[in-house]
Amino acid sequence: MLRTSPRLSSLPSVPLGFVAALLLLAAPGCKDDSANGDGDGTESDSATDSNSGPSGGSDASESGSGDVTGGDAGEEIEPAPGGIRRMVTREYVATIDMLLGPEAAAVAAPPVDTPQDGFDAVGAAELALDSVAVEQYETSAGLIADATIANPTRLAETAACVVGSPDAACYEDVARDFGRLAFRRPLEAAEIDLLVEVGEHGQAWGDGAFEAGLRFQLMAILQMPSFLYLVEIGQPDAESGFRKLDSYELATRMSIFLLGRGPDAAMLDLAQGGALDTDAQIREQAQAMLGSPQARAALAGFFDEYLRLADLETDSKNAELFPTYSVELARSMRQESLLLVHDIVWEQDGDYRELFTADYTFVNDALAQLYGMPGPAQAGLYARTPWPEAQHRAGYLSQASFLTHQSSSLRNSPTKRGRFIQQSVLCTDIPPPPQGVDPSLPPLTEDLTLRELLLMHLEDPSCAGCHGVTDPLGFAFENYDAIGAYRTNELGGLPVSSQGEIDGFGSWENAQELADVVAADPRTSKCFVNNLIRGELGHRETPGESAAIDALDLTFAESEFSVQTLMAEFPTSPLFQLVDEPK
Amino acid sequence: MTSVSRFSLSRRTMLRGLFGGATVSVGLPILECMLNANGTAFAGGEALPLRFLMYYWADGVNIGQFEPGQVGADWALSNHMSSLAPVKDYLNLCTGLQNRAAERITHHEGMTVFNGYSFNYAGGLDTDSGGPTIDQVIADAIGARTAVRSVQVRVSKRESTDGDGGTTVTALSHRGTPGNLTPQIPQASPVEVFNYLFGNFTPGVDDRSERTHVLDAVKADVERLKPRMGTIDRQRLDSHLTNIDELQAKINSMPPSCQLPAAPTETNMDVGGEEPITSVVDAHASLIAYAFACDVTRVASFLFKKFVSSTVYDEINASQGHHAASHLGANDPTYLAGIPYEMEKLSQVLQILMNTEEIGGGNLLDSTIVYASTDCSTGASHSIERQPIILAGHGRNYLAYPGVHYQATPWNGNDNSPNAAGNTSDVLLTCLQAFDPGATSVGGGAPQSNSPLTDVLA
Repeated sequence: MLRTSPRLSSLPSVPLGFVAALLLLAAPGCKDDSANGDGDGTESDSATDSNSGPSGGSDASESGSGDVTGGDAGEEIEPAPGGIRRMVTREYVATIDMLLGPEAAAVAAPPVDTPQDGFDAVGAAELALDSVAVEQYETSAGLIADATIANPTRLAETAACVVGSPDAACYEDVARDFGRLAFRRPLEAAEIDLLVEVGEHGQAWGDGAFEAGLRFQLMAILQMPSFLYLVEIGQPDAESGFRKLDSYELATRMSIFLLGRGPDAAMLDLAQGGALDTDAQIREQAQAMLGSPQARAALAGFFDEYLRLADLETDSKNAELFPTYSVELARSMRQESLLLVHDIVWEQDGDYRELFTADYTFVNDALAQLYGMPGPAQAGLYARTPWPEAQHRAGYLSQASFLTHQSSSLRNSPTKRGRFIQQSVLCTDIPPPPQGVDPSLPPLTEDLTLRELLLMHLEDPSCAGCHGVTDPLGFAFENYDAIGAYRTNELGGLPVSSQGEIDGFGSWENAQELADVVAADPRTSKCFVNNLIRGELGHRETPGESAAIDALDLTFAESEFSVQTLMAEFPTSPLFQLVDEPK
Repeated sequence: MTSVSRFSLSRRTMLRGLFGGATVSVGLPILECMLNANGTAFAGGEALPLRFLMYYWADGVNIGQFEPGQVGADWALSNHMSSLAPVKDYLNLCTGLQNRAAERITHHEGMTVFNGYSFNYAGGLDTDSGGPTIDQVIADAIGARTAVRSVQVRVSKRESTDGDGGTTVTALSHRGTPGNLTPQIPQASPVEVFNYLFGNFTPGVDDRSERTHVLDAVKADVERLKPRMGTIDRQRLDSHLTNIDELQAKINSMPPSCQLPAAPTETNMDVGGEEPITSVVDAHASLIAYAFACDVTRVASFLFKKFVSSTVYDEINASQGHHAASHLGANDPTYLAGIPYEMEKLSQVLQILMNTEEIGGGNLLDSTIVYASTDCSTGASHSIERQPIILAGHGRNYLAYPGVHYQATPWNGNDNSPNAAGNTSDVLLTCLQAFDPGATSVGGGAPQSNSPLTDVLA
């Protein structure tokens, strides 16, 4: 059994401030101080610690694993195509924060993300910008430039000449030094010349004022594809026969993945100095980056998408049936799930599968009331609290966020709940209904439970193909209504049953037992790897990546499913480092 | 750079019904000299502006309560369409037509009525749009004549919770060519719509030359990157370039000759967990009407609610989501109540157009063609037989006025397996030819049309 026996003797209360910060950090497009983590020095610290010189080669020999990057020899891979993907909203804002400071990040207003395959990054890799988005980038660049000129402190860390009495030569410093940070690579001479000319042109327009030219120079940099798009096309790699990210592209992909923003100057120095050439170096750098608060925010952002938490606040519920449901309660639900992820990944460095089996959760007063559990000792805080035994709950799939979002406004939906598990937890594709089939259920009558109605539905072979693999999973949650409250009877008074089985998968009496089946299924951890590829690299996993995914999943398993280990190892995988011809 | 023509209204005109239902007067300059002697065209010979609005409501209708009992010129509004009475003369209704989409996976195929192409299947419940939507094809023909090529708005912000994905559900409007399409992401906030339509014209420091210069530098970076990319990303960068060109044209376009509308305050944020639908419809429609009247743009698309979205019509105290209700059958009470509500919102939009005076007399419904439809006939069975199409506005006497009810074939009375004839794409071609008389076809593959529906013409 995978059921955890967490340390229940103490139920630590989580400070509200921390909770608020976590939610802000996870909020896409948040322009508060979310991206203003105090861990900006992480990469720099690591650079100091592990890379006193530009070569860094000694690290590899010290660790005894001086293998060349690109994955283990003999590992078959046909990597996904290279190309460009836009920074998603939260990456753009966090990058502006690093580049130009919190005042600039506070006014950043990039276009909204357009997810595909459930993730913003996939949309950012596949879709072209429309006219509104291009205009919003221009507007955002202007606002950021104005904020920077009003407070140039952070910019001066990169281009010191901008404070004091800058002369026209400063445009070249900005182009060369700030440009390197913004474009995540050194600029070619022609690129510097182009940006200097923009600065000088603007200065002339502004009657000689340096700031006038700086404003337009910054606006140009911040609208250029070299800034907006992550360029991941690599160089031909004789060993693999494909293309391998160059050191700057790798540094960028690592920073975006691990910290949710572009690389800082120290990380670019590592790339420039050849200190990201071996897997040992990459692993060590990734581990150092995982120590940053920004890593926690970045991972929260991923789970916000993966678990559909960001969508929760727009769910509507019937006010008569669910009078306690509110946007505030939905936010608490979202927070509860993020706290569970935080606890497993960062506090315990525990087994990923505990996300499904944890016999505890985090509740504030409103959630405690919803679940019928004791509230936190201190009002306004979230407390780690064991699930009530009689409710047979376990992990995320028993949390209100999942149970609410995968329900309709009027009632729970075994189909939606089961489908999420099949599609997003086990990565099973569910085909659409066959053509010509009326997918409507017969009306719910007083003498039938929803489960009984759905079972009748399953007797139709044209329905059973899909509903046979979704609905039985969803039946496990029949004890929880459309906002996750415990029940033993349906609204009409008929008793519910949470029993279910699927041939070849397992059988269960309740949600707790289903959670064990899900956690024990080998597809669960592999599906998590697949979702990392979608959410972080911005493409749906391809058949050619299958062996490399298996290898990474094996590494994950060998670490007892430590997400931190997976995050440190992912950048050493050929999945991360190799690309095919640009798409 | 694209040159942008401008026009001015012929006489002091009152724009009414704008913004929150309040009557707003907008003084417009008298520039009779710009028109010919009859006031029927510009002095230079260019035709007076013709506008196009594509409108979408989701999850179908109840056929029996939606289709009028009479056909031809002498027809009466059905029960579910009764809220359209104030604009009835401006309506041409098309029923009984067949959507000829090649594949079906629920709802997605219904969007063929907006483009005349079958979707591209992408697995699960994902599809990508098969071709450009009619509004964007029309914008290809006339969009360069105005500062803003087209505008896309959205009312309900709710998304599908059933896993529907791909670009078909990402946006209503798609620009480009089959295989190289850019979804035009609709703006939900009227404040954002205002900024897009009119923000460029608000007084401020005149830095147009430098913004243009900056964008030239940005284009140089796009061009630098392009050769290193493959086909797909080159197309994406080309789209980026095109949009920069259009932004430059917009920056350098002359401000419209009418006063700018006051910026709306509606941001389309939920109030107490409910969407402020009527207020948003009013604000969006008013901005579009203003932009049409001022000739800031001539093309718009209006997404009322996405298919399969979790939208609940709280304003009529719906007990559950409209889509969920649709699957309880064609006669589910919540579903039945939702359809007249949807027509009431369409009527709200059309009345705002009708209450906005047009250059040379008349109102915007005299100079606009509105193409409104949904993604299925019966929502419960996702039928694409008999998807209704409402044409509103006669487009400067192009469509019949008063309008007719064209019915391709009488209904067989079966909600879940309705019958149909003809081709819904024929109506798209009818609309396109109003803007591009030389057009001979719309769409591609099975749904393609080479024969416009002429029964609704004036």
